[in-house]
Amino acid sequence: MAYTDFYFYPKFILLLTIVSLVQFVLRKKPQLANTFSKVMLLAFSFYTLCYYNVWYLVCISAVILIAYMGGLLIGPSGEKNRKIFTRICVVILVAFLGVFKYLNFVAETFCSIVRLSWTDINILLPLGISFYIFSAISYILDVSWGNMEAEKSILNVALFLAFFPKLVCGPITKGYEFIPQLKEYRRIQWRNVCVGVQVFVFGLFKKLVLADHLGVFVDDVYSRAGAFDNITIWLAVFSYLLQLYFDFSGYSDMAIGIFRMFGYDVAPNFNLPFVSTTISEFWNRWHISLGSWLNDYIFNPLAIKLKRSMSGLDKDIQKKYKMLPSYVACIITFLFSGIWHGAGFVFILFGLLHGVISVIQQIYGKWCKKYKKKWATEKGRFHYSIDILLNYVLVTFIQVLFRAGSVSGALHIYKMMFVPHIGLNQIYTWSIFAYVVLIVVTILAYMRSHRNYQEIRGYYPVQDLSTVKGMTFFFVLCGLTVIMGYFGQTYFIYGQF
Amino acid sequence: MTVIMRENTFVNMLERNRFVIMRLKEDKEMLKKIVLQLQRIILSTIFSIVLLSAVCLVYGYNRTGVPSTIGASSYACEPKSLSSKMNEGFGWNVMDANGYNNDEAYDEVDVLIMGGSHIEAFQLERSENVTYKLDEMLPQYHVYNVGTSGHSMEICVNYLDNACAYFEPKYVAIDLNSLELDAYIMESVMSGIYSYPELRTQRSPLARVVRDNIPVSATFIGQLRNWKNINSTDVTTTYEESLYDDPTYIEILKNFLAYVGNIIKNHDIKLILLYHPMNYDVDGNGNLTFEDETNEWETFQSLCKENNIVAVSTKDEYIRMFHEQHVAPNGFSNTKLGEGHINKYGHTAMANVLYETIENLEE
Repeated sequence: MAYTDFYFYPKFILLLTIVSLVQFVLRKKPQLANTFSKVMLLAFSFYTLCYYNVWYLVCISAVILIAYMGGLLIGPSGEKNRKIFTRICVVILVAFLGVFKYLNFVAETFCSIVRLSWTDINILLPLGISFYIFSAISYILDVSWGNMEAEKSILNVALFLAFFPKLVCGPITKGYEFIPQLKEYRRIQWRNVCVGVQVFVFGLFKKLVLADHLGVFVDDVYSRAGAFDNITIWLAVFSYLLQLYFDFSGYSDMAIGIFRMFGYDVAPNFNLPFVSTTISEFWNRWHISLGSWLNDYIFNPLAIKLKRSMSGLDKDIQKKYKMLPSYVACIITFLFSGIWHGAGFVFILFGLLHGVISVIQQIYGKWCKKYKKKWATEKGRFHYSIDILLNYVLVTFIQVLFRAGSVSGALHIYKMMFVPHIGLNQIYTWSIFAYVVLIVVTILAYMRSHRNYQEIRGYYPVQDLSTVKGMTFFFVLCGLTVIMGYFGQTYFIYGQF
Repeated sequence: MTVIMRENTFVNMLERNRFVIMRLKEDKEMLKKIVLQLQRIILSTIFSIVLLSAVCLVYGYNRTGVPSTIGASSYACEPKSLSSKMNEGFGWNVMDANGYNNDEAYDEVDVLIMGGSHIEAFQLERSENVTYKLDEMLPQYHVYNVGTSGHSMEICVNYLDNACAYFEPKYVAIDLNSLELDAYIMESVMSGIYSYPELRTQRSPLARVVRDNIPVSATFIGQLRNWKNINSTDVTTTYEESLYDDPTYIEILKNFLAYVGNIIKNHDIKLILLYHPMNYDVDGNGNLTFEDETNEWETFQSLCKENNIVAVSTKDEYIRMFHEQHVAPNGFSNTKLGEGHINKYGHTAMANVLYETIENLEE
């Protein structure tokens, strides 16, 4: 039951009303009210899963049990047992994800190497598995590393993993950020509902009006690239990154909006990624929850481990290659990110490219600083804009791999881009509209940052709904979302994970 | 003691009254706040309706259809009303005095073009549609468009007699986008019992007033309906076998075309049935392919010929334009190419074919 499903809204309004009523009736018993509210939220989350397939509920229930029991075992254990239990839990969770997502790819690759044949097993990929498995792993590791105590309430663990707003496309929440909120009594309050519903509508506008319209064009061009001329293909390639951004950030906004309506705070998942000047900065602004997860649980531990492994070497070598551990960790982390996005060589290549280019950019940046290249280190607005443009083009080109879904598909698109040929020409007007919206929003964010381009931050233009101006803005946004929305068959791109 | 008790009671009563008065004051304040907020909500709603209506006037708007005064279709647009469309193509057109999409309502019409939404061409600027282009190609003639959304060829035939009586044209062209006509409609038309379904807003005066004067209402409600039906299964039945293999259908078609033949004979006009196929695809190698309808087209053409009806197709013109100009006849810069209504290239193709046909007929 996606947010773009019309029948989601009456059910959601009913849920919000019932939870509010229960909280009002039990206002003098906050503990009971909190428990009841969470039970209802969990029930709705399970209902959402069952709506697609009952099997999804079985899978997430298993993960909830593993995470819960794992936390309880790890928490009070000594150092040695803690490590053992942690490793067992993480291996089980990774294996869970591996079987559903990567079994066919790994088996097919292995069989092709040893020259055997393989027929894909028809495995139904549980909805949102990549997201909640990562959340579960983060919980296990946080308990193991002492970042948080093991949660004794299975209700809190279940809701942490299965809360319906983040089921399909995240954000990937961490235990130490979200479980304490579940422990507190978070009442539904009018001011939070006002903010939450506005953030939700921003997301819905991005998805229905921008992403879905762009999808019509991008899907058409990618499915029959040979029918179109070079200009159209270039436009489609650039439109895809926009489509992906509006689709995914739109979903994230809707999820964050719903969290807020129920009184929970979840950090934004996107922060104007197109103003980035480097790949690393881009991934710090794009799908922030995944970047943060990878940073906390892959990059940092790996970089520290690699650095420690160098401690036995000669001091001169250590000094000369002091950045090597972090560069290697960076590439491996991006490789993980690529693999998380999909099972296929194209995703490995996707991750590797990001990692290698990121390292090259870091080395280049250090070289410029070392040799005091003022033009590189003291950049004015113009040079900064060039950096943004170059990085944007680079990221767009790499995203072709992601969209094409295969190396051969991506190579075909690259060929269609660069080899001159004639075909149908379509300057898709929704692409132009989407770019105009993006540029206007970026300019507004720039003005808000007091024209300090290094401090540009995304923000939600939330209005005061007790004023005429605020309500008019909100109603107009709702109206535009419906009037201009695309209501053909669509899907959330990141929902496939 | 009694005095003290009475005093205490009196003090208590005063306290209670003060409490009640305070509560009443608070309630009054609360009521004021609620009324003020309600006023703000109403005001914001009005402002947003006005703003959204202004957007819809440009993005997508037309007034409720009215019964056609000249009987050339079941309904027409309100005379001199605006039609705007930006969700498929870009077209802003003001209707003529008859409520059709023409620069002016000619008294004398030489070439009458009938058809559905493809001919109505709200997705285009007027100068891009088939009527305008043909009018330019045939300066000696007045070409007039009575295309009306929802009017398939069979439905247009229902109004053919009226249209010919009113305009007395030399030529009439009717478009068709499928060779498989609706047997039920054909039979109803031949029996004289066909009536076009009444539009929703024509049934209710209030709905009509709201729709016509609050431009956002129709678009908003229409979109909500689309949203609601987004996941509903498509109930269109696709026939594996062609209707042309069904002798019953062929019989109905024969009779229908004979019926049409009689009408044009009575009015002494030349009828051109302009078929613009939509069953084509441009594949990933850039090849334009059409579904094979050779048998159906030949049958249809020969049945038309028996009744002095000229049946022409834009297929060859589409192929030529595709290879020479690399254009597809359907789709716009804001939709998927190759689907939906005919674009300016398709209209040019239709005008070229009609011009050539009329020139041949003149010879």
